Amino acid sequence: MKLGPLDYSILAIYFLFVLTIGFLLKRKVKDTASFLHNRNLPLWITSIAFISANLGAQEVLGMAASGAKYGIMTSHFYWIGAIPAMVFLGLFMMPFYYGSLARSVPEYLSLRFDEKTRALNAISFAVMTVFSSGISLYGLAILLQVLLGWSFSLSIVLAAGIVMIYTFSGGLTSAIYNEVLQFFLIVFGIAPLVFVGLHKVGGYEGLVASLPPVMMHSWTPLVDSAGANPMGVSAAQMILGLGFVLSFGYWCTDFLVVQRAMVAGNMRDAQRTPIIAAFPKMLLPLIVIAPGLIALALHNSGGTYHLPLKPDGRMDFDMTLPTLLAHFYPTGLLGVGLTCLMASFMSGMAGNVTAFNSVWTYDIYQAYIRPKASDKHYLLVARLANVGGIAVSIATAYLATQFNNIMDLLQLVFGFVNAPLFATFLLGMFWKRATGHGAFIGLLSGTLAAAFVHGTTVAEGKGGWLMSPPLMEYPSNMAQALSIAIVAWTVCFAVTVLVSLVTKAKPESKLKGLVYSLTEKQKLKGGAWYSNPMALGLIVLAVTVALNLVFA
Amino acid sequence: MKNLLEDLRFFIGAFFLIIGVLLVFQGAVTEITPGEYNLNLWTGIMFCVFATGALLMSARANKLI
Repeated sequence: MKLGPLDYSILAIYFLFVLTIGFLLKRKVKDTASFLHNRNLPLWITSIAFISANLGAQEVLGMAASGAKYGIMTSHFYWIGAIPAMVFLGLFMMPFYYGSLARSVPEYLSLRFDEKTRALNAISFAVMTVFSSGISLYGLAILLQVLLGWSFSLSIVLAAGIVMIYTFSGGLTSAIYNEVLQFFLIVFGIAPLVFVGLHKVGGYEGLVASLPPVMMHSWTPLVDSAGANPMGVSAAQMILGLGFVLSFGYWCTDFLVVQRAMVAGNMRDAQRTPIIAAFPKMLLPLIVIAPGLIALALHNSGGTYHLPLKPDGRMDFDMTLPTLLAHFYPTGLLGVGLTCLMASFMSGMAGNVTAFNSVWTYDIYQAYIRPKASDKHYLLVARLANVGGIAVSIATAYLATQFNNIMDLLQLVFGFVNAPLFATFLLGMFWKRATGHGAFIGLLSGTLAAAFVHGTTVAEGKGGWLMSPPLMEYPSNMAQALSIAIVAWTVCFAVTVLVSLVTKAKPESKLKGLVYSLTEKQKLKGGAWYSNPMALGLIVLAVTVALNLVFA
Repeated sequence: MKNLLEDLRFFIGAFFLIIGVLLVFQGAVTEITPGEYNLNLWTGIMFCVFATGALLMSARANKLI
């Protein structure tokens, strides 16, 4: 890929804008609240930021790669693996997160359960976010090295430096504003690629004709040939593992995304944030998955575009989107495309760093290290945490260059920790008998169960580190990951229930506003029917069902 | 003016307007093979239209029009 002066100018203009936003928001930062959890952002901003926080580079590049590898089945990550959970979060969980006045998800756990459950969640989340930020940084530097021949260190310093300046200046609001700008940049920057790509393959009919039928259906391959389809999973694994455990675990409990709804101006907007966000989220496959399908169709047609290969001769699906941009985009638009990729990496990093700031400051430092300091002191700590979080991210990126497997290991451990989490929240919010001891031991048991399943089974040569020969072999890594999630969730749920039944529950007076049956139901009065979260949620679910049927 | 500089719509509009104008200009001076799309030109126009909408909304919200 060769960039011209115009392409570099577009990149420079983007950097100038994100830095300017940070500087202008600096004057609004007066205390920790305005730096870490401003509850005054309008609905359109919180909704777009909600999906944009998840629209990092791993998603933009990864979904195009999955589109080329698995076809329309990739849409499950949206229509089954996101939308229902987003609606559930808005309708049933936001009233507790927002209404409890908790400033973070771990703080809700402290109010509902106890300090040890909060500490477990806060520490694991803080570690995960800074390492995830490092993974983003590493991915960006490698991409720029491969595409443009830029030095690894230059890419790291440039991206991390810019993110640090604008998050240090404007805090969470600055990160959110830039996420919104990034969202529009990605949508409008990649849309022309889909348009021209579809034109080249002969429209949708041409796409269907160029690809094997298994790539153009989302459900039929899972039902007809469980284990033999490209993903190697069954419909039951998809629904339970992705559609329930992993999806609800991520969208309903991960503070990185939930934080975007928690900064809305009022309860109704907090509830509507994930539901409004679900509308564009439903259509995102058009932007992020379609390029993968187009790339495969062009590759199969024997034209001038070919999917890139790895040194061992296998297809390098991760480079699908960058190579498509280089193939179709002329100077000018190529700069926009590259800016999209950089924006998605930087935004992913900024989202992680700002979520880390909040959890470090409120749930670790203020809770356990120095509880009764002044607000000025906590603001300083939050700003230092910003710098510290980015420093650890940079260190992680460099560590990854020495030990490439550390990234796989980290992501594996994150999976073990995340899988059981939704069981804890579900019981906490909807069963008043659930106790702090039950939640803590349940979470630990679920995590250990996840590690046990991974250690005793194998898939594509991975796993089986506890037992040889392994108990079972899965047809794909995805099938193994979904099974691990289902087992971890079930173990966490069962252990939490059992331990709760033999330990003392909190008095009901202390659970008001935290548990469904003990919370007065708020009647949202006024406004048109279409502004009601329930009505919006039902519309979203109906459209999602229709999309699943159309592409079944 | 102070409010405008804190309005995200203004920033989004300004950003896309600048990039849109650059793309339109690049598209206008580039020779295109017959049968091919002038991607810079059409994307630039799309950016400019979107930017105008964002700037108008910002101006209206800040009571400038």
